[in-house]
Amino acid sequence: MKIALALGMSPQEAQFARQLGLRYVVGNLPANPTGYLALDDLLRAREFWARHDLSFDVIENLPTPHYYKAMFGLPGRDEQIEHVATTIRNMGKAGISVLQYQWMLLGGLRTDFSPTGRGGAHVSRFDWEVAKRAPIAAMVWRSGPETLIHSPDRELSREQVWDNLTYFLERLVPVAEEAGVKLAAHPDDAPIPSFMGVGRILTSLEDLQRLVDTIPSPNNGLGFCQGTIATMAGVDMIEAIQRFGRQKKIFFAHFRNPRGQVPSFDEVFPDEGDTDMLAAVRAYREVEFDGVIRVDHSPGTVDDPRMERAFAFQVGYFKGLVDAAELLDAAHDSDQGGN
Amino acid sequence: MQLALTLDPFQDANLLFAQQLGADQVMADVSGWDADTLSAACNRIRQGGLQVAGVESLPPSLYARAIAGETGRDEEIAEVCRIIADLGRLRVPLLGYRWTLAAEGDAASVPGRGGTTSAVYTAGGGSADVAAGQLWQTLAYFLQRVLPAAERAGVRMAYQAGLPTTGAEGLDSVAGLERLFALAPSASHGLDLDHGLFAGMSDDEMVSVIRHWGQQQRIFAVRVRYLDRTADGLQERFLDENRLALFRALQAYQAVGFTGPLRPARSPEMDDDTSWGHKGRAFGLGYLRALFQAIA
Repeated sequence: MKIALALGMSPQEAQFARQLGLRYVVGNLPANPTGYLALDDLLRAREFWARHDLSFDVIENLPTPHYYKAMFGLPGRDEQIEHVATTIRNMGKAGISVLQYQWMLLGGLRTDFSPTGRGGAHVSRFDWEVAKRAPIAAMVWRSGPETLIHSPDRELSREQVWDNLTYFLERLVPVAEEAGVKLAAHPDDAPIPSFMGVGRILTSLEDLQRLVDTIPSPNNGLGFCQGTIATMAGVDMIEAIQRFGRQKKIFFAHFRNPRGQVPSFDEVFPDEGDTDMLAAVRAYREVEFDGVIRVDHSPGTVDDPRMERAFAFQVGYFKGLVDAAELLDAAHDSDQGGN
Repeated sequence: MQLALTLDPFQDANLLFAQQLGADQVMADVSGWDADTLSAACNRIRQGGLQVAGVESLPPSLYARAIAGETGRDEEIAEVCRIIADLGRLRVPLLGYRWTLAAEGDAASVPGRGGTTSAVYTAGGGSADVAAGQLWQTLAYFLQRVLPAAERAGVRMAYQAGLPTTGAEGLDSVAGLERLFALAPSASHGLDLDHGLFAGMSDDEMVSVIRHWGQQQRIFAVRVRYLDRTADGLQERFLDENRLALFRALQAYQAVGFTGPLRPARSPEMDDDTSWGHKGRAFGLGYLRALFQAIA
């Protein structure tokens, strides 16, 4: 499996990934005032990582300023969509094959980040009751209001938000097909159906199915954020991997293992969450998932301001699971061969 | 098997590190040997919800005369027995010891994966520093006095072999360790098995060594690292660079019913890491936790 970290473009971060034995990286480019990602910038990023022997095949986030009018259905969305089309074409030319985007009009939601985890590790938490009482607090991600770029000035039903997404995809999926780029929709984290009167539409497996069925195309699929999907009420994570993996709709994945589901959950270490992560790795292998999977959020550990220890642990854990799954399957195959 | 870390329990940050990254047990790396220090070490570990797997290693300086067979060794041995009795009262189940006055070995540095700094051990710090005949006599004298104390205290003594850099047929070889256990038969005497011993062995040989001592209940603790035998010596690498061997070793420990502490040693040194190697150890803990899960 193609295990990656999300990194900034610095030699130090590249070295960190290489020392952990990784070959893949994902990342972002900053929002561009032109409204699209320039071919030169994309090529420069790919070449930078290639020089460090890391393959850069996934844009983690389409910059929100590039398409927020499309998300909200605001005047000017057609111009933004045309610019996103340019981004997609440029990615195709640069050989970057997956564009992840999200359709969270009000961003990601967490209500707490406190030393309540294992050994006092700092753990992020979502609690719907808290979010209802103090919505603005739920938009504060960890240390600052990073996602507080839109304030809802009106209510939007789920169907209105679906209409906006459908409008976006109808225009861009054909572009993606032509450019050889896969559009990967990240589910709404936290997966609650609406927030502050604004619908959140990718918050159940049925929603994810509706997304891929809306515009049937090999280029329309999922940024399969395991952490988010695991926290959808009632979801069996392994079945979810099998369901969307068999449809070849997992274009990119996030490896994370929270504890709990909506209405509340904690982002604990990956070896103590609710999902059997070895079974998850085996499910990805069973459906022959061949995309990049990135090690996602981690609890914050002691004396680790850049979270390198926490991520070294997570990479070690994930690699161990993948190695073990491969070795167990190889042993099984050779047993079969002997019979 | 229990996932463990060797650390100084008087450093709070390292105890938290172990707790947060999911270690089950600690091998206490202490530098004071009076009852109060040992008691405080145990309390600190247990307060955080971790178990005391043992005390990492009795420093050979405490029993240098016993190793050399010099006058004064009986006083040293009495002190070792006192420490063992204190550990027993503190319910510390394991005490590591060595039989050499040398350090681990001379190490050079070469580049490892991704530009890490990787140690290459070029000469053993094993038992070669004591003339072979005398080594066995002094060791037998020591064990015949210390092991009964260990049995009374309920503390198991775990011999920590030096690296087999020279390939010598001394104590720190499979045959030598066999002879060690014959010196003073006791169920309280076993091995702190360092995977450095397996450097240069085939995986099948490694598994048969684990089975052999595991079936005899001689494996008390395990220290996991990957030392690759090269032309220059034994080069440390990351655990996942020899994944099949490690996986087979863990399966073998599981199969022989090993229930003791297993801990990652230092990895190649990553950029901007501490001298203790927090990042490399974090990687090792995560990797081992996953393999534990897979063989359970």
